[in-house]
Amino acid sequence: MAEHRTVLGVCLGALLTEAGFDAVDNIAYETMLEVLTSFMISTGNTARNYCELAGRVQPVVGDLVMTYADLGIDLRGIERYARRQQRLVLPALGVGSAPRPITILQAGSKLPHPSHIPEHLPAFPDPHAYIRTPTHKQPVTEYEALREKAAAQKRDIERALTKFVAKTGDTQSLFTTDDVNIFPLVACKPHPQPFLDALMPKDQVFDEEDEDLELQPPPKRVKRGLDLSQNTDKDSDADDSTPPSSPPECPDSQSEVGKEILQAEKISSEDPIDNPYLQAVKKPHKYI
Amino acid sequence: MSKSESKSGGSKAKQKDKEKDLKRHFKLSHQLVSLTGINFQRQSIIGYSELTIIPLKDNLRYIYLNAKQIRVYKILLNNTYEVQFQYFDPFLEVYQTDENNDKKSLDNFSPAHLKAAQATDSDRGLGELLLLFPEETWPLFQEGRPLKVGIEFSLEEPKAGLHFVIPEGEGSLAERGAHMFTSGYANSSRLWFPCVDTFSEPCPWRFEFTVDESMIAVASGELLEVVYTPDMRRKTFYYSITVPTAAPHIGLAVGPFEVFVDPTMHEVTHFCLPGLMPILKTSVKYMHESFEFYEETLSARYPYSCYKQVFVEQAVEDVRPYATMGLMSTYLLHGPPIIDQVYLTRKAMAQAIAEQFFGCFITMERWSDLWLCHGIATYLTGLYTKKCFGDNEYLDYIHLEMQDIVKYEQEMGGIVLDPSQAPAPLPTTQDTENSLSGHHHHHHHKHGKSHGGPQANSPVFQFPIGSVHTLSPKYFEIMRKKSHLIIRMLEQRIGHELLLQVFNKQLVLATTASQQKMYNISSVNAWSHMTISTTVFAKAVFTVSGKDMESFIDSWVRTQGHAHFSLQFVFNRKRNTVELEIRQEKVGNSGIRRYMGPLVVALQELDGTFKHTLQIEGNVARADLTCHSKSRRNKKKKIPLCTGEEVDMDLSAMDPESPVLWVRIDPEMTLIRANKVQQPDYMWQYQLRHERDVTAQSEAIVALEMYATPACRLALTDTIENEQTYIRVRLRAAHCLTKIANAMVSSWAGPPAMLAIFRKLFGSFSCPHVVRQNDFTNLQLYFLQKTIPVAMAGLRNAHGICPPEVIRFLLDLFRFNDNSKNRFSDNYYRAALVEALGATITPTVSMLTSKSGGITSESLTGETKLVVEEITRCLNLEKLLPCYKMQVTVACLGAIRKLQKFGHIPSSPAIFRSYSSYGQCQDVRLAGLRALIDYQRVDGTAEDLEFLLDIAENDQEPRIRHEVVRMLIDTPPFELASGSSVDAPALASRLWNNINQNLHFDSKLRCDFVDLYYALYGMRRPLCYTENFALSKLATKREAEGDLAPDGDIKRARLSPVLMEENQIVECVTVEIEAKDQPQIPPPKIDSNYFSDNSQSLPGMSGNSQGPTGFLPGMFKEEGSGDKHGKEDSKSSKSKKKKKDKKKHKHKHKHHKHRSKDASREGKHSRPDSPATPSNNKEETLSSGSSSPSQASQDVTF
Repeated sequence: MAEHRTVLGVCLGALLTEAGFDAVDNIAYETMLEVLTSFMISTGNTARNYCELAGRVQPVVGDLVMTYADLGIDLRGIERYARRQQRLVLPALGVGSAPRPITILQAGSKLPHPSHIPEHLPAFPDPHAYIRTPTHKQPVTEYEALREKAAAQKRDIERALTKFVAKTGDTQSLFTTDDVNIFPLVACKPHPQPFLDALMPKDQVFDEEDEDLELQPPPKRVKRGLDLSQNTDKDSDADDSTPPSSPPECPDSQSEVGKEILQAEKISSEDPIDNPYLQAVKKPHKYI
Repeated sequence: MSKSESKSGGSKAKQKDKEKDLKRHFKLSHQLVSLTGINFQRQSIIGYSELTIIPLKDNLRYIYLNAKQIRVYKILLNNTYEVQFQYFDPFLEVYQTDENNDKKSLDNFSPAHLKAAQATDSDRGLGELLLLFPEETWPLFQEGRPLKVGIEFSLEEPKAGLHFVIPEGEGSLAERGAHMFTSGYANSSRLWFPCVDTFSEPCPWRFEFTVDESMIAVASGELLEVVYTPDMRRKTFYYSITVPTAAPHIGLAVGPFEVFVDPTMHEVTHFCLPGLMPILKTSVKYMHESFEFYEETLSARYPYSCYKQVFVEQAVEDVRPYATMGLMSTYLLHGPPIIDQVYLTRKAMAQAIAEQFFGCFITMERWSDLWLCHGIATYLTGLYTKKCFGDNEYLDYIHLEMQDIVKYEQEMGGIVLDPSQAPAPLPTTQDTENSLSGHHHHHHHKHGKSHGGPQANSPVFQFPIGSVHTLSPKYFEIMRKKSHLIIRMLEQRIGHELLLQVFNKQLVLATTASQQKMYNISSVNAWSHMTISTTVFAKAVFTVSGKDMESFIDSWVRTQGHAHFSLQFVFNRKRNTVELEIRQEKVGNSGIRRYMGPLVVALQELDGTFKHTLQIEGNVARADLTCHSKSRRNKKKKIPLCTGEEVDMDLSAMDPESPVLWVRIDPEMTLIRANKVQQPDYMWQYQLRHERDVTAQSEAIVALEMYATPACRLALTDTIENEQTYIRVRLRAAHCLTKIANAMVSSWAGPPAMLAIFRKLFGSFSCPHVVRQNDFTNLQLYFLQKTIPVAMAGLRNAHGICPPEVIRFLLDLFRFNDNSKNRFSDNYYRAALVEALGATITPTVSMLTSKSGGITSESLTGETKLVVEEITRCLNLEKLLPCYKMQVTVACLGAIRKLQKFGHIPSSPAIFRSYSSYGQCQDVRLAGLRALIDYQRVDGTAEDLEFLLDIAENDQEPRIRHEVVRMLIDTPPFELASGSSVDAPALASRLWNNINQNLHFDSKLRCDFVDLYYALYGMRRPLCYTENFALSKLATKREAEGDLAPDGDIKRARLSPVLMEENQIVECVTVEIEAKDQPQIPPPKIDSNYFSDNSQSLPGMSGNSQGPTGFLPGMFKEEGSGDKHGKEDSKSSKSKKKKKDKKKHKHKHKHHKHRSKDASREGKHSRPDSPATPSNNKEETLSSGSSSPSQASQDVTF
């Protein structure tokens, strides 16, 4: 509708100019535009009625004549009016913009007609409509691109997050003179128990299963030990009989230790540990 | 102490006849401490202590006890007689100056400081609290009859000794995690209860601590029971410790701790603050192993019935062992994904347990025996780390300790482990004496005479070494390292097994002793085996091993310093020998002593390693060592190494005539020594590539820094890549390669150094320039991955800037860092990357323009802008997702400071101040402060310094206070007499008041401040007190420009060596007691001498200006006695004087030669971060001058 209104608006302007107006009030313009629109609509409707009555699909001039007669519009002089000298020629409408390609999901390329089908018959629909529907694009498998993408994504998230925090909270700046927003630093806040954040970091979530892994070292770790020489025993036992490169928090004897701990736990579940700190607090009977 | 001294000391009240018998006249047989009111709101405690004493004489009329900062209400004897008491603490005003600024020098302070410490030394029978027994009680005092002294006391807002941590916030104290613990330094139990505060007086104890219902009191000893108070709102913890224990080993921690009983050893209980239980479990998982290890190694049971580990916040030290408990810093805890901290935590916990055996159970008899406890405990810890982390790690650790000792001793002076007794006058020491006086540099010290023994060879420090309350904490730290190495040396001499037997014997004796009871006079010595002394230990060594180690102890424990060897050799082809020359050129320099005895030299030849033991007898030793192998050409044959392995070597680089591949001195580190081996670069390369000993590899890397050649580059690259090599050597090789690459910048071809290695090791398979996803399961690779970027960041191109390629490489590492699949945290890795970014920063070219216009973000160049962006991003992200110990923030702060320093962003302390404020995590605070102190040195004003000093004096965290001062000492805000605007009388007075009065309660901090005072003003009166200080500043400037100093000053400078010589001889010859008892009259000369301080700063004069540089703390002290004895001794001194003069000539001669080298030498040997400005030059000569008497000869021998 909007395009029609625009075109009609332009026509209206042309008519008014021809009639000798220089300017038009907005309200008058709108009113006239409405009148014109309504006139065109009733013209069209009536014309279609006539043509359909005659069993046609497209109106012909006769239909229009009948229409105008019906509407009570005198057509005399219209020929002269059409041929008038000083009529304005409207510029061609922006054709390029008007026909937007219909956005149909194009999946796959359409098959050409086989030889026995004449060319004027409609083309085949998309293959997905009758052969199969590919549900996903072939993913990018190139490692480098993936890493790039992952890195970019992560960075974007982080940037957005820090920016948000920087904008909503106190900031500090590395520069004294110019805008504070150039390199905003989120201000640091004192914490009543600073060690909690520092010792229980939240930067990464590690699987709980790690604990279990340590109790039962995967065979993988033993294999890894083979490619290390004894001269590299930075983290391993001097004892050669054990795999030399166990991570520090699970030294070589971990399997034994694990067993020990398991045993210990078993014991503890069987009989209570005799530790004074686990004893119940006594009632002050002696002191009353 | 003489009467005259006592006047200045101000301790008139207790002088009287004390001097004659400086010992305690009673024995302690039991003590009870009961703290009934521990109040967190008011930070106060109310307590009662009852000491059971056994008088050692009938006419005991008074006793001294130790008590500090506590208020004593009432003292009762046997619960009936009220005892009068007096309180006096000499540290309230150490040295009475009457506000006379002229006297505010360390020269004056030091003796008074020692006197103050001795005036309260319980081993001398003294203390702060004097109990005067009333006449009616005198009949009670019969030799050997126990008496009970009950003391009611209270303590409010303690400044040291007990530390309260009370976090702000909502909720009850327990919910907020408020806790308190003992935080004293050395023997400081007197800060929270009256006691005999010494290690030599162990006794059994009982404790009662009444605390809030929500809290737990953890203390030394065995928990007997916990009983509610009648109102049920509080509970009382009853502890008892039957093993006699010394008061300083009594520890206490109270807080809402979470309890974790060790699943393997139920006697062991761990405590942490609420919320930390998961990481506590991880951290202590393997602690029981160290228990087992020690028990097995020592074949002795753990001496106590239980052990507790309490992890507290704001701990003063990482580890503070008390009897049956270790008080640890909460920052030692770590979760399972953390790597780097594991090593430190395990070692710290093992150390605390080792000290249970030696330190807490067996304690030192006197302070001079401290080395034994420290040494043995650290030695045992070392053995455990060897078991835990491997032989290479252990050897490397020993090597690093050795380097630390050597560095400290050369800077500050030699450490005497046991100063109580002089080494026996063997020919060895005699000779040492001669050589020392021959060099006239060695100055004898009179402070350290704590125990009356003659003090023949203690070195000069700015602090008296006689008492731990006057010792520099740094000295204390290095002394521990040295003690450790001495015990290790002993192991090498008597054998590992025998040494363990000695320990075992001590433990067995002590265990037997600990089961005895002390009832009366007949059993007062029952517990004497609980303490250990140098003599006892030497005897035990002899009994067990049959070897008399007395001379070893004399030469390493009672003599200061370390040995210094320079080795040169040539190969004599005709005789097939190596002609060696080993020199001890620097003997007499600070911290360096002459060594006489066997020395092993190892020659690696083509046919194997051959060790030759040389007997070193003089300053120069020569030897011709016959080679066992002939040189061979083009013969392929495997070469046997010291380990017995046989390897192939590419022999093309070596001298075809010679079969020697490399030479090493003392390969087993059987001495404390510094080595300087001169051998050609290809030998160093062979040593690096093929020697199996990690210390040799490390030494080779240091030596190779000097040889920027492609061959060296290749050797280093191969080392980095070699998986067989010990990881720390590989890391060092990476850093060394940086230096080599920078030196070879003009001829360097190919990509930046190490880029290829990094990509090979860590690049993705398909695209090497993208780093792989992190996987730290291989720890060697982890450490390499962390270190190589930092090493690469140090690379510089021909323009002196970091190559853009490297910066891009680093930024890519940030970009592609992906830890999602890693089992370990990458916090240290990210911190290393930030550190690397910081290391790429070089000074801006447009310093001047930007200064005039103010630095804005537009003035950032492209690469720097990216760097700033990255650092900003990391810092911001850390706020939202903090990593373990905020390591990234720590690195960011360092990098920001670097950006400021090099003029990329405006220099401002504001950011660092917010990070260094209370309420941040400890590491972050320290990083902020480090940046502030660096800022202080460059741009700091007096107000900035005040801010730092405020922290140093008043911060809530004791550790921060200590660290600030230590950092200020390492990076002083101004150089000695540099004419800085900060150097004002107000500052000097403030520091003086701290050491003299304000810090009477905290020995450690006070000694820190003494060190700071020394770093800023030297031994003498601060120059800023001089009226015409401004004038002298001007003079400094003029001299810097090259003007001549006034004649008089030069003369004085020349004269002073002679003067000093006389003094020294006086000191050696005159009766020691006299020298000691002389009132310490400050030299009249000092005041007029300040000007020569400036005049000697002439840059060109540093070589022969030994006069002023030789001014020593004690040098003029004996002026009075010097005059008296001058005549008698003039004969003996004359001959020496002549010698001296000759020497001086020589010095001058040589000086000419080496002056031309001055520039280059300065570049190499002066501290790398200090530009060689005249003012700096002066600082070096002056400060080291007073601690190292022989700066001049150091220059010459160079």
